[in-house]
Amino acid sequence: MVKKSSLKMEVKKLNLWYDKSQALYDIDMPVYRHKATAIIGPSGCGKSTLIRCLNRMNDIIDKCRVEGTVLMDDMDIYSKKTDVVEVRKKVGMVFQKPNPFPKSIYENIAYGCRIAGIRNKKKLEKIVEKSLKESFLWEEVKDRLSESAMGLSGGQQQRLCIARALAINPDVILMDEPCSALDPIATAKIEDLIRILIKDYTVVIVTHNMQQAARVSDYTAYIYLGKLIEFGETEQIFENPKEESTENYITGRFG
Amino acid sequence: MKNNYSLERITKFFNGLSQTLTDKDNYSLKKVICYITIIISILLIGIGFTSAVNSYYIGDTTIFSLLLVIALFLSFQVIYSIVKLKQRIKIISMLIFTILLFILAYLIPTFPPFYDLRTYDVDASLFKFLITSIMMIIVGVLSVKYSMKTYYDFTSKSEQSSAYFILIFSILLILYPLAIIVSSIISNGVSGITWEFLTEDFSRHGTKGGVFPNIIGTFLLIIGTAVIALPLGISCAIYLNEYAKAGIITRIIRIAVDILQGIPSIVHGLFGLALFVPLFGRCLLTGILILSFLTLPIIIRASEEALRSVPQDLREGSYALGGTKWQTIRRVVLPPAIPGIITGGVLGLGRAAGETAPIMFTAAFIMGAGVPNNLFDGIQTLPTHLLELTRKMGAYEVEQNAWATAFLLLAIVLGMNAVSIIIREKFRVEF
Amino acid sequence: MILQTRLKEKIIKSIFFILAAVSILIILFIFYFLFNEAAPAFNEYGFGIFSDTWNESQHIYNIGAAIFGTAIVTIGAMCIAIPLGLAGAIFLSELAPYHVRALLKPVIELLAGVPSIVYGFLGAVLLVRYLSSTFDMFGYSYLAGSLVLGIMALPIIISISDDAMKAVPRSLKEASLAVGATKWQTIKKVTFPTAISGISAGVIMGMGRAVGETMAVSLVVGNLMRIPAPPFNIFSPGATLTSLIALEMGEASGMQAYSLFAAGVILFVIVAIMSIISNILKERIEKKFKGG
Repeated sequence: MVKKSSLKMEVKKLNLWYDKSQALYDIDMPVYRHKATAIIGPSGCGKSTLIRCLNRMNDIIDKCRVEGTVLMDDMDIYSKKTDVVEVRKKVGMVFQKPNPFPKSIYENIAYGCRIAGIRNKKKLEKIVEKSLKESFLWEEVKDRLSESAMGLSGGQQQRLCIARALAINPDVILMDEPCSALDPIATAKIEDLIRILIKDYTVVIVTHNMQQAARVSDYTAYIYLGKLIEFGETEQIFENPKEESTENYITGRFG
Repeated sequence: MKNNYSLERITKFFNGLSQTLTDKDNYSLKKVICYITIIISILLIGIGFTSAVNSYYIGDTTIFSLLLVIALFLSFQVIYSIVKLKQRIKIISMLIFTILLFILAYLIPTFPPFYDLRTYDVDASLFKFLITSIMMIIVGVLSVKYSMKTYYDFTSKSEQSSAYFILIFSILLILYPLAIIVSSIISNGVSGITWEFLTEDFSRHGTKGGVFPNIIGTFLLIIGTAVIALPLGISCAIYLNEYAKAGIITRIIRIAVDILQGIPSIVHGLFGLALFVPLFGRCLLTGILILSFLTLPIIIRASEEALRSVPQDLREGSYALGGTKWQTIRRVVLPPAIPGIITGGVLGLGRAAGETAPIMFTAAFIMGAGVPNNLFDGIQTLPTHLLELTRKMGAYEVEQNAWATAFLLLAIVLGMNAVSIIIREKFRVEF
Repeated sequence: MILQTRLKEKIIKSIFFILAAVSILIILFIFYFLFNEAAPAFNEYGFGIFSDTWNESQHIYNIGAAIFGTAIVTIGAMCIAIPLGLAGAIFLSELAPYHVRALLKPVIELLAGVPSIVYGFLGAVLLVRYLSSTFDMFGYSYLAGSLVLGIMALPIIISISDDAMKAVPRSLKEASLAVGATKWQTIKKVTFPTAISGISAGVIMGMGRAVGETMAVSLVVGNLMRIPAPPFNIFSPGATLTSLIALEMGEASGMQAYSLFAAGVILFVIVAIMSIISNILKERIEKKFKGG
């Protein structure tokens, strides 16, 4: 049994509709502090949809309706009183395809700080250096901070996006299949990075690669057709799944 | 690089030709005949075209011999096709065409020098050279088509070659008027651009003097239109692309912009005549307002396209960092879209600079307005000046100045267009 | 702080909305004013306004001859511009090697930017003279108008059709080639039909240009308000809606002016219909590539 105060976020009875068709059914899922939680399942079953609820990115999509609660530090981020912009400053996101801005490496990272109002040049420089070091990109780019970010390799761009997310000092980092567009070496680097990040942050990662989930996460959630089939410690899910559906997916019988 | 490429092409053609000539068997005889027919046909097309354009009749015997030669070569091809291919159906049209060619060759010399259509109540006559030119072109094109059919033994490749031939022919047909436009304006217009032309007002019905006030008028219109239409148009585009939810109102706005874009410029002039002239008089301000309405949809369209080309990824990246909508637009969406927006803006302004109809009764005067002192003064512009000179061409010796004005106006407008294209290419952001 | 930003965002959004809505206002304005001025003419003539009696001395101002002129000249222009334009577009998008295309595309865009008065001037000084000597005719005619408008509509048709054909996904073309079709067969049966909506939109826009062109036409068409005796006599001078307005606008007053506004209204309506059709076509393209 885990103590309630180790819960960073909690999803309660979450239902989501895209126009008329329902995509998520009654999801109840905990997200534990300073742990990595993986969301796995076959393609198109709602993993991305679920993770995008955690920072309300689904708000941007037309005709998307959400019912239920998502608590962060015991506050419902979906309540009318919550400012979505503040939520996103606490919950950062890294996307499937690296999306650096067509600006310099420095400016990409400083962006989040600038819009939060930080303008002091020395402060910004410190934050940029810290974020790049945290994402293990500093050594590779420290001499070319003013060059365009578009000139970096795919793996570097993705680490840049991670650094960009870290720069605003979030509590939670969401990662939506961060390695699917990267080569194996870059993937390994990011996986190592995730294990180090959880010392200071909480990580939720969507992945269709089961081995990655097994390598990287402490807890795993298995989503199938919009429903949370099973949730538990990663070791238990992979070695001793309770549900038949989970076992079928894990052993590769489908998906 | 480009030179090498076409050089390669030409050498390939002649290599192929010499190869077929040195290869000794029946199969390549066919190729040689096809080649020759094609060459002569192209020659025929060229002659037909030049004679049509220069109103020159090249003589009965020349046409007779050319047609006869093609007919002979085509008959060889028909015989070959019948013997070798046994594809009766497709060969019959070739056969008929060849027979018609022989008949035509005999008939041409007997045509009368011209054919008066006035007996049919049509106010024109058809001169022999025109008829024969058109016939030569048609014969040439068809001969090329049939030769290619034989060359490729009536496979789908032959269809492709003849289609390609027609396409290239069309392109040349399109480029021809373009070449005429450019060359005539440059050759006739450049000589008229003197210092006097650029710095003085005109006199004596435009036979003397220059277009200085007109240049000023046109420039003032451009600047004024930029001031009004650019902010308005860009804002509209930002709203439509970034803020608006797909709903009825957005649809209506989009349709409104489309209709606005299609409205003929003269109708804008009528509208200005009805609304602005009673309010402000026939002056610079009226002209600016009318031209702004004209340019608005162009700017909106171009800006929307530029904004749309910024991928959604980037916006989501900014939102995920806690950016507000306006912050995202200002910092992430607009900067890469600016070249596209500027391109559209300059193009629109170029169009405004060249417009005559909307301003000719609402802002511009043919003469006497000079350089305006304020917004409510009348102006002179280059397009209206050109209009007036064209009208006067029969009565006064203004042709030289007309060419010069056309040249100047074209230089300004095309210059702006060229600048916009350069901006677009140079500052393009690749995603 | 949060409330302040929220308010600021709302204000910015409203400002942009108002500025966008201004464009609707402009259309409504134009519509209203045109109809207002044209109303007396419609009241006076009713549907008779479409007849061709335009007689200044008798103060009868029916614009039928101008409508006829616009129709003839547009049809003629399209006969030239559509075949040549489509051929040009196919060449540009499918056949032209990279460098040729890189050269020609900007050239065509520049062509589209030539002001109509310049076309009119060239038409008057070059084309009319050529026609009058080649055909032993007056020179100023529907034929001249069609030729000039055809050349003016060309770049639009080429440009838009080229974009439409370039937008056909490569996978479709590859699928066709993979079953052994030649490149031309692929163009004829796959690329062209797939792009047909965009091409039609381009043709309609070209037609819109032909209908709405003023200066180029008015300087070569002769400005004679009369339907020629055999109506197909394209060698006779005539008038179009646009040339009529351009010619008479300066000194018209009273019923004559109202008739001119009526001509303007008719132009407006024609163009609006074309816009709507064009929009429907564009929506079809969207649907094709998103859903079905």
